[in-house]
Amino acid sequence: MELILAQVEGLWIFLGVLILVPLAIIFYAISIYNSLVAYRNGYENAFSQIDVQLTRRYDLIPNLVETAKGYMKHERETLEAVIEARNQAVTAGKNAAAAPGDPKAMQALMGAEAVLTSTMGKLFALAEAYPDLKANENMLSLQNELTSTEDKVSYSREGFNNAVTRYNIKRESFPDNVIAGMYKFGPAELFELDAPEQREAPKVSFS
Amino acid sequence: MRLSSILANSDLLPLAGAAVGAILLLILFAELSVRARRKQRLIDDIPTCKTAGVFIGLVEVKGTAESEQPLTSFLAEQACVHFSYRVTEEWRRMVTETYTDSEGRTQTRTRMQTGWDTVAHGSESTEFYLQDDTGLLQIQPSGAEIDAARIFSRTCGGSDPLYYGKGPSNSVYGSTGKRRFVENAIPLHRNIYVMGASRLRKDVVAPEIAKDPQAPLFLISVKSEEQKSSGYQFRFWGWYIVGLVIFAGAPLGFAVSSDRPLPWLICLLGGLIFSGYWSARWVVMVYNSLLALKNRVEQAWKNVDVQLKRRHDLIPRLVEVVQGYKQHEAELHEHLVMLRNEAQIAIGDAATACTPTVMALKEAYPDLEANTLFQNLQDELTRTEQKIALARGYYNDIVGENNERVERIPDRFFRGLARMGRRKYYEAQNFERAPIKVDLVNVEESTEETTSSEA
Repeated sequence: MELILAQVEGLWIFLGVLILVPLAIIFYAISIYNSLVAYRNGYENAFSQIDVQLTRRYDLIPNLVETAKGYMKHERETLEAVIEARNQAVTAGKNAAAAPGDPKAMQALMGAEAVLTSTMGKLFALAEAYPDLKANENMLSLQNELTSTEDKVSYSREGFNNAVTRYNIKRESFPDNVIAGMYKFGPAELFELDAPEQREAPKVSFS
Repeated sequence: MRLSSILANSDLLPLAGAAVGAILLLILFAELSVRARRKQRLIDDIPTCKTAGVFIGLVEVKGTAESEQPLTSFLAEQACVHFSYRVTEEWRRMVTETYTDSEGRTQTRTRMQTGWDTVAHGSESTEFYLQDDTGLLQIQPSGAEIDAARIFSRTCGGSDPLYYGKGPSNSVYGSTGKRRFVENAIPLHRNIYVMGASRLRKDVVAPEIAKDPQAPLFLISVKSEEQKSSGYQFRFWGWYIVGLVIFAGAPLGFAVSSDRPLPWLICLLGGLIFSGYWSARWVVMVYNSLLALKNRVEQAWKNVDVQLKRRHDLIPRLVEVVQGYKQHEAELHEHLVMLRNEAQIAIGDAATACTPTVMALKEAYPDLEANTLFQNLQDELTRTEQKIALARGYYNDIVGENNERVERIPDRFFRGLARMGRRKYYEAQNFERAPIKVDLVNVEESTEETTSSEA
């Protein structure tokens, strides 16, 4: 009797091992598969991050360049207005000196003076009221923004290389390479220097 | 013994349990041992990076711990970036226990027992900078394995001001009135070794090292790289020996305690089974570690390309900004010089009205600053070339590790399996070795020179 009971107990244990061990292996394989999926998504995500930075560069830099050009144009035009007003004032002054007492000449002179004062005022305001926004400051911040943008792009490329490396290491390691081979987790490519048009750096032109 | 008699033994379930336990122990000690070796290999294989050349990935840096707002350690009150303290109090108690004496009767007896209880403990870390000769790198220490230095250790009695000054006011049951105060910390300006995964910071465009669940290691240590490496080597052999002793020694111990004949054969078998599994696990680890190194060498090479591309895209644009402004400045200069001179020329009343404004203008527009832009360009040129040089330097360092690793025993036997070989160092091209011609008169020429030297 005891022998039979003991043998039944033995059978249960034997069956238990027969079922549990393959089950454990299957669960392990599933967890490997899932982490391969996660790492693959990791590098695909990192790749899209590069494009995010490139798009940001593509959208931002031309705007900054236009702004800088605008500043320089504004500065130039304000100064040119001053020069023009000064020329007018000089002419009006000469006319008034040549024809003293002439009310029209005096009026012209006063008018020219007023114009000169106001244009000078504009130029002065440009310089004093917004000292940090003079054209050269603007160009300096353009340079800094160019640098910072390129830094972001290169960090995102390094991040991509890192995600690809992690994925490749995982995919080639044992025992993950078994699952990777079975379910077609192919190797990932690192950053390459050649790139299509859209990824070219935008042209900065002041012509 | 026959299978049926084994199965007939009523100790079957506990035996099965013991078998499962043995397998788990086998796996545990092999893992502990082999993982320590893996960490040692990582520390040895990955070259040290300069802070200015830190790339996004697993990096190793060395320098001093710096912070503008350091912590003050609790016990020693020293400036630090991390501290952890523990206060333990000694107790002595009467303990009663039951036992069976030599005649099989249950008796009770009392005896004195002594020990130490933790009555207070705490730790704190703050983000800090690691500084080396090329710059600063932010470190976020939370989640790291930290080796701190012992900066405070004192045992004292109740009359010492420290006892209640830095310890709780209530005592443990049976206290002897003796407390031990111990504190470990990473003091400010201390040389440290950090290995961890770097990522981009959120506040500035710069990297930082922080906890990453996918990274195999995150260490902050006051010990040197060599000390850490030997530490892991010691653990590798240590866990192996512990496992061996357990598997070879357990049958021995079991036999001795139940007065059975010494099963030398089973001991040998136990030792061999453990060593066999451990060796297999070790082989897998070496293979994995070699292909990881191979991949990291590739990564280092492509990271050089990343820096070259950055230079290719950035420098011409910066030069164009300078050129654009110089042109603008030249135009303005003419006008402004004329206006300034106006202050000296009298044109009747008109001049008197305008003169103060023109004088003020002279101050408002001092000599225009194309200089700043040019200086900025020069600084960025320097920085860009430094980044490229650091990336190439790192590549050469890791190629050095790779080539050494691939020649060593036992790794050289895995060369074919892991498809590894010697790699070539980065070498300067012949034209790059010649000194660069600097021509400030004609800016376009120097632009071409910088962009043509990418490799």
